[in-house]
Amino acid sequence: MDALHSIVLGLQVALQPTNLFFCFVGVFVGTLIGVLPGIGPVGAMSLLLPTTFHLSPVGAIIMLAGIYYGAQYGGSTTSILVNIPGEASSIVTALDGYQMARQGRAGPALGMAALGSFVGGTVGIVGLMLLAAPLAEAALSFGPPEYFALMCVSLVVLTFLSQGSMYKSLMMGLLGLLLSGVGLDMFTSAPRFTFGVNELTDGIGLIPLVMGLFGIAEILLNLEQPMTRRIYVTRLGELLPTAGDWLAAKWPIVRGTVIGFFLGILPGGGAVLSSFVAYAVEKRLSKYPERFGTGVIEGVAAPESANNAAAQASFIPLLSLGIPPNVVMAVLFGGLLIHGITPGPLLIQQHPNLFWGVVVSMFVGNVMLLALNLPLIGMWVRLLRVPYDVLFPLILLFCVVGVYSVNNSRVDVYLMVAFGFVGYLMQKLGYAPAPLALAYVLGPILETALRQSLSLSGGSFAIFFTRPIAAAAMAVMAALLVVQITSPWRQHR
Amino acid sequence: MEHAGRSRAKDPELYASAFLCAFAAAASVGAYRLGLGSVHNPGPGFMPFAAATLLALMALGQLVRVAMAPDEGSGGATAFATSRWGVVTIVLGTLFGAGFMLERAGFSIATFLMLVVLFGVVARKRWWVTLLWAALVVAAARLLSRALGMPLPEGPLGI
Amino acid sequence: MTKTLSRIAAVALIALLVTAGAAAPRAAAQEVFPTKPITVWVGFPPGGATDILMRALAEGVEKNLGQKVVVINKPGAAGAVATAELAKAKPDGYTIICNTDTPVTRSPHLRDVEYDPFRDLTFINRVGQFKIVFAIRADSPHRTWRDVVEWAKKNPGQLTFGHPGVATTPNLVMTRIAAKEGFTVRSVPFAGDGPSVSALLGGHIVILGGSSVATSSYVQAKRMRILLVNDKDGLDYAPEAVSFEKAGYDVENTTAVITFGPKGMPRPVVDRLAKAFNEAAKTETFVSVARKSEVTVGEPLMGQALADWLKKVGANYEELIKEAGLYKSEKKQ
Repeated sequence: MDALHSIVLGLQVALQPTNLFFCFVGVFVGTLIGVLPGIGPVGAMSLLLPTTFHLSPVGAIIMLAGIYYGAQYGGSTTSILVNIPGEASSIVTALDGYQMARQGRAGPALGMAALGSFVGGTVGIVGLMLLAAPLAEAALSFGPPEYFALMCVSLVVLTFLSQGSMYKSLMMGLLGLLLSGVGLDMFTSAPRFTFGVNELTDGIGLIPLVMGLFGIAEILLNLEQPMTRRIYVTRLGELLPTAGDWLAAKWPIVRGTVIGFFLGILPGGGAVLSSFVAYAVEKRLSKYPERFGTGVIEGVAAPESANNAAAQASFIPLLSLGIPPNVVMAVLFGGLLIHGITPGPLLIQQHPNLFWGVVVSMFVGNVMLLALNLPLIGMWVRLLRVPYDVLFPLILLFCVVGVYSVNNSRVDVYLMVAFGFVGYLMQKLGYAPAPLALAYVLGPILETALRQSLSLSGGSFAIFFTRPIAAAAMAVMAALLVVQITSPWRQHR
Repeated sequence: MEHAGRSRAKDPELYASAFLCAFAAAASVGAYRLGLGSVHNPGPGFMPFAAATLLALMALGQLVRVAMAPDEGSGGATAFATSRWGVVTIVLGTLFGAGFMLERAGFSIATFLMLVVLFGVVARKRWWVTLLWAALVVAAARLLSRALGMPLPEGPLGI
Repeated sequence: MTKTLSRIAAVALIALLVTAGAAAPRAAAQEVFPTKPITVWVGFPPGGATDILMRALAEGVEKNLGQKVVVINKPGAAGAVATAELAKAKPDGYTIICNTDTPVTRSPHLRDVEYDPFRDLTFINRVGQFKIVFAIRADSPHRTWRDVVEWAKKNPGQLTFGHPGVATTPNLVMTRIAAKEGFTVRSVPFAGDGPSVSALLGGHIVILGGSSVATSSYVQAKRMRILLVNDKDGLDYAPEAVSFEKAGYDVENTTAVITFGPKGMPRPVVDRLAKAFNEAAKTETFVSVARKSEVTVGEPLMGQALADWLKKVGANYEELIKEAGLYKSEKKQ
């Protein structure tokens, strides 16, 4: 079935009124969910899963998919407005996005996030349509040794992110690695650092960590100022990115999309990886890297394009091979199963209307999201004008509800409080939270990949250098390390 | 300026590095106890040990560096000069309390009380404005959560 | 003037809230169970096999009980985290869990858990059981399990085996088989069936052990073959699959999905819930989901009979776990 024919089939399915409706419901709920901190797309999808029982499979998947990539749009909203990343892939957006909001440029930041997301998402869909099968196969060639090597490269890339003291950022990265070890060890089932606390058996949890370190800490900092002082400068005039913004963001969007798409295909960690690699790349290529972290538009455009491209790309392993690459896709997988469709290599052949219908509806969904999010910018900016003494309790309420709803666990709230305090101290002392959070996400993948690889090789480290992809990645890591270490020296020449 | 005793400016940095070093060292010991395995067959303690030991060493390095550096005006103390510890304590304590009460007293009561403290004590609003706002927000949150189908704990009064 | 009005409004609002709360109907203990919605926890993230089984059941249970069923995910350690919390809940039947048997039959042997599985819990019913398989890539030169065993004996260290996690049935079974047959195997844990499927397809492992549903679509797409399955009737879509029994291995256990609650639940409540779940298992929604998930429903097993069965299963796992060197006291702590 050639591409044109498939697209027509997809249009026929996606443009049916009922499916359009489901698409809209999906992206709307997704945006809402993405904006509410803590309650991620997983929560929303699981809540709506029962309702999808009664829908047609195509309608159900369209809706669930809409929730997922809709949440990617919404997740950056809280990152930008209140420095609370809605999910791991929005952590990096907060670095510059929030600073822009403080400077009264929340509108352009939100606008660029939406538009960058749209470009990333759309290109991602095109990639999905054209390259799904070969890319999925390529992704299969990533086994444990390749993941380990990739994680090594990522950790080095993490150091490129550092604002301020690289030494301190490294320390925070190590701390993140350490914290990620809390919980049950995957290989021996031994509890590590759980101190007998039942809720720590599965680890600390990214949401309490991130909401505390970023959100609560920021509020504590802001509360040092007298209540009457404006935390956010607001200039209602600028609601959308300026021409200058577009010029600056042009290439970051392109690069971010490409990076996001290819990294997003890799099961496990694709979206997070893509967001900060894109950011780091922009910072490295920029003529004014020291301005990253103070509120530059590229720092928003690149990660946002990347994480939406990655979100679309993450459908590839699911739809063409039947392998859910992350928890969210696993819910989609479950949804398909409920409707009697087992996702697998035969999905495209057996249910072409499902595949193409969903793919085309993603285009439709992205357009709807743009139409939804752009007008909302005005509302969000107005929200920031609410006096801070009324705003901050609401934000804190959001945080408590959000963090509790993830696992229905009080302990998560306590952890958030603890990290809020730690984050506050960290900010005061010049230790950046981003490397900690990102290392926390990557740590388990690194360790798992290492131990799996050594298990496969019987203890030999050669496995990392004899396999082509892994060896190439290690070489890249070495090269990047050299660049990073010698850069202060090279700058002096 | 004469050296009239050690300058206090560096203290927070010193304490922080010392604490981090001690924390990492303790973690390192804990990781060791978990079993390091061998380099070829890492045990559960391997990664944490590596990370913790490295961190402890770096923190030690930081400690030494800060202690040796000449006293400058900038330093931890000035950063903390603007800290309002009372506010920090109250806010964190309230959040902790809200978490504690969430299941015992139910969502509505726990968050209502939390908002009352935040609006009334931290933001120092007048008591009736506080109560009004708190009640309104909690009611709205309840409705929103019901609409979204998010289960939030019900209190003894069924709200 | 406005100040006073605001004050009055505030007081009125508070009064309203309090009265509304007080007027809310309370569950009368005398009436027949259930009189209010029941909450079922699932110790896994949403979308997982156990989760969708429970959600497929929820509708049927709701109809049967006449009350809403709220499914809440409390992931963590294959349900052990949720089980520990559940053991402290009120045994009134309004809070129960639908989970695999792992926290009951396995977790206590791997580490110290906060609950005593047979003293702190009341067992309700068994929903069904998963089938486990050993699978290999379709293009592999080994045609049967015997081929693999012979090859593994001649090439020590070459047989790599992926499984969905430490102390899962495939992992423990392979350990026992390897010991019995005398070959060495490099067992690699993955975080569930999904990653191990990728690893097999990508050629990073030779054999995969996991639940049959994870591999069925690949078998049908001719990318994988099933070597062994723990169903004496084999697999209808994989005629070449041999049952573990026929191959000479005694694999009794497989992961079961069960419902249970805290200790001290009144007998009538347990019976009522068991009945509701059993009836719900007959609904079309559940039957089709169970079929798609390759879950065998089998004979209804409830209450004390279920507890006895679980004790047996648990003892069997204890043996397997000790054989695999994973038993808690042997680990450095």
